Amino acid sequence: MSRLTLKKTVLCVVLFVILLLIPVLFRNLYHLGIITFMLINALLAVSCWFIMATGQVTLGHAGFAAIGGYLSAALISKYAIGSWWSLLIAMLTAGMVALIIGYITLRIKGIYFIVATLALGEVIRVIFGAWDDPFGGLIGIMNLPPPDTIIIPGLFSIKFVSKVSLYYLTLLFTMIGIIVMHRLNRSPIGLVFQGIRQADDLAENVGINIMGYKVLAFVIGCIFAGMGGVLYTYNVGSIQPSSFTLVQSAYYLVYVAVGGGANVFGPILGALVLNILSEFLRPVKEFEPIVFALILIGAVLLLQGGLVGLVQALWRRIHEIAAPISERAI
Amino acid sequence: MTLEILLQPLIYGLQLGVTYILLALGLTVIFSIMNVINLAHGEFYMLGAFTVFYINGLLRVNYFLALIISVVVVAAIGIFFERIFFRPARGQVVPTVIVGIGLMWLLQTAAQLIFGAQPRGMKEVFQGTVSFLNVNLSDSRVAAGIISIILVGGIYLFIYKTKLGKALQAVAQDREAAMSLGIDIGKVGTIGFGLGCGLAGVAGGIMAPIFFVEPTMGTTTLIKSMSIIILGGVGSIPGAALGGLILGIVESYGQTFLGYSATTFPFLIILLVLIFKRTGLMGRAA
Repeated sequence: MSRLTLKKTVLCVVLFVILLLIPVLFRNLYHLGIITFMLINALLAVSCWFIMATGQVTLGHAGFAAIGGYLSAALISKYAIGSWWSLLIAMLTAGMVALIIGYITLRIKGIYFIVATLALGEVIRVIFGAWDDPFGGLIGIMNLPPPDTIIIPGLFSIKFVSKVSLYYLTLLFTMIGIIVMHRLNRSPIGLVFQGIRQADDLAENVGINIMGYKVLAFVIGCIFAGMGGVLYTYNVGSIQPSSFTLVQSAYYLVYVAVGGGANVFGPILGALVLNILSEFLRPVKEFEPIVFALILIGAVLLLQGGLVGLVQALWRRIHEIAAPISERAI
Repeated sequence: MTLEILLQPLIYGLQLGVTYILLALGLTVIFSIMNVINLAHGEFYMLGAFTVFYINGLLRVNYFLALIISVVVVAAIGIFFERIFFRPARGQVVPTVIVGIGLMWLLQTAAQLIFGAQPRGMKEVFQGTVSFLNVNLSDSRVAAGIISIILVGGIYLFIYKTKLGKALQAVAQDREAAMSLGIDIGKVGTIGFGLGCGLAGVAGGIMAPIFFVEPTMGTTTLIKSMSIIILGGVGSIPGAALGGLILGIVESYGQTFLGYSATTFPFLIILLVLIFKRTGLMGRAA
């Protein structure tokens, strides 16, 4: 067991070092930009996965990213509130909306949550598109200043003007979000989520407040979806109603379905693989949604555990074959 | 003067409402059989609208014949996708939902590539207007209303009076009991799915001469249909009829007096129903 933990620690350190070295490895700013958006997509995919751990499918995830993005943009450009406070307020607002919607729709089992999140995603887009002040209507909010400089008196200050600094900023917040959700998923709360997904009747019968846990998962997932939206806005410097649509919500589902839901690496791997695929599909951009839709359906029907499930199954096979030999050697 | 302002939206709303009933009935039939919402329902509506747009609008085939063709074409497309996508999901909720959103995405993008993304207007099939009490209604809308009423009546008779309709009801109520009575679940499922998609398709065909036809019209249509069946009570056929009329009228008044923000009405209806009467207007307690 300790050998396994050691292996995991080494793996995580190596991954982390690679992530830190990315701006050195990819000097092309275009590539660095793509990798930055990959991080944001991974964060959104993980937050979607976190909600799906309770057996709920959310179709309005992009809507919560839009709330985060729009709110932070409006607070900064119209009310001159600092970027970091805006980030916090935007995340909390996304969480509040999720709390209200979750409380109303998750009390009852059935299709209501799916239906409501789908409708909510569209409504959020319509509202931001119709609301000229402070959200800029159909044009959205443009030309946002870069995030505020962090000054530690007497020591140093960090400016967020260059793409490289924005990459590190995105990396920091993405890592925080993913680690928090991963730890929660592995905690006793995460076990309850799993129990609810597998048999909610049973969970209810042993006295678990399944509605409360479902709402909790939804709120936490949406807080980090809001964070993803803010990071997107800070990187792009603008936001439009078309930035976060139902199609975006579908992308997050593809990431989870392709990567697999067994652990946090599933959605991350899904986001990584499909974002790379998306780059290869760039010459035939208009066919990309068709390819992704087919991948989504194929992954759900044929690849139940996703890529992570596939890797795990392979791993087990290798061990099954290898185990008797190593035992004999001892 | 004021009377017209109040009456005009009511008449428009009633016409919209009866066509919405077709959509909601289609969604209800599929829901009753699969036990899961078909998220691609709006796309079948869009396909029906495009079928009529091409066959009547461009090929100049008789409008009523075009409507019949739209039912057949859309039902066939629906049955095809039920076989290859929905049936392998075996009625499990999460896979069926995800397959549904995948199909929605697939059909929408395919339509954009094939038909072009821009909204298109069809030449009106019926010229002229009917007016009474100073309220004007174009012949297209009158025709749409009448065709919808006839179809709703037909579906009612089919579901409650024919053997096949009763088999559909039986499957919706209790799959296993229906199976043990010798009902071919697979066949009934296929017919039900085809019927549901065909209804969405014909609703699209009915609306095509009145509104613009565009590949993305399915999403709002889906949300409207879902709000209707939640308002009426999920799985209830009379509920779907009542819900359709209410949404049509409410939306029509909303568009007249509030404009663009009326697009949020279906969502508000869903929330209000869930807060105040979870079972919907005519649904049975779960």
